[in-house]
Amino acid sequence: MRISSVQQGLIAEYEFAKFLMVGSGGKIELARPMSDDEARDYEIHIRGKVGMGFACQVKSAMSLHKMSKNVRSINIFFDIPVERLVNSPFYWYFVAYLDPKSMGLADPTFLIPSEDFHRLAAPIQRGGKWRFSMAANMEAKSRDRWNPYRVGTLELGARVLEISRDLGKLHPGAKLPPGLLAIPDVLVIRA
Amino acid sequence: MGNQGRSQGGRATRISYVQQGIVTQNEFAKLVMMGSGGRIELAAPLTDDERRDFEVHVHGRYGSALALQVKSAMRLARLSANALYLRVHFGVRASRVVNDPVFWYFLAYFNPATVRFDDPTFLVPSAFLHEHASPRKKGDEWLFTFQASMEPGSHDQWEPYRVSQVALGKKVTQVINDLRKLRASIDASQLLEMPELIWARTA
Repeated sequence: MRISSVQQGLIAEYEFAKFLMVGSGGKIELARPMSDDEARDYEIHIRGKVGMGFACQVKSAMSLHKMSKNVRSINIFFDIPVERLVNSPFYWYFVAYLDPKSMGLADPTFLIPSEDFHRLAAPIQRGGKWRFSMAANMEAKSRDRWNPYRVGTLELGARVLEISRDLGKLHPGAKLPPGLLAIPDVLVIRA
Repeated sequence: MGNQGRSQGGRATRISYVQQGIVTQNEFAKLVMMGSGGRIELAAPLTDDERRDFEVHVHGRYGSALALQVKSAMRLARLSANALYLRVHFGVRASRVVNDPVFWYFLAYFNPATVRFDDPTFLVPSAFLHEHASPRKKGDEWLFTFQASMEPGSHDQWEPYRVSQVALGKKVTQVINDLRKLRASIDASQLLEMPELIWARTA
């Protein structure tokens, strides 16, 4: 008997949260929205930096496809209603293979900005929906289009810390109010 | 929510006790769900007043749930040159100690390097744990120290309760099935105590 898709989704989300919390030495906080209306599984922020977070949607597969004799790929398909598509630097996808044998996520996993994902995952608009299909090579030596987004499970915490810091610079809260620099004698010091 | 023993700190890994509690409970839930092929359903009580982290039942079978408390450590204790031990120390208010066949403890070492449990893990009935985990009364609290060898050849008192992670789903299913049979036989024995009951058997 196979676990249900609901159980699979929950376990993949747990795994993602676990690797972020432990891998960041506890610096990363995750929050689950009370409703999934915006297709976000987690709101992620660095502890103490409230209001500077980003959202992440977790996608998983429990089987790999054989592309050739020695090449396996993870294939993910899903639809999104056109009006709910989010293209934002603060919205990311996490894609991983949940290995039923080891009962955990396998390496590599993929962390992909939504804008890149929507561009690279063969988007097709049909009816009122966008359909996305991602097929990423899982082999260590792969150089496919998803290669820049590969992250080892044990590196996920550090990678998300890095993403959070980079996004912090883009965040509206990190920008100076317009006109501030025009005030005489104002000195802006940034770390 | 923190389910770790007091002295089994998250200090080395720096995750908080609350994070450790959540991570290890989720890890347990994952192993039970996947190891049972999805047959086991877990529910987390909205409040932890009865010290249950999970109510566990076989899918579709209501009324025969197992209550579970998850305890974890993020480091092992070295008690001799070659023996590593899982040591979990915790206190329970005397009025809240539950000795019930349906209340069990799950205890495990969460390895921060691999970000998962190490084998073996332990699934122990509450009454046995309360009796054998060096119980000590301090004020209105019972203090327990669970200390189990992690070595493969060990034959300590906790050996019968060892479970490998891959076997955890099946073990929990077996415990629930055994409890169901136990309950059924208790129910039947109570029948005999009913006044004016006539027990008829076919010849």
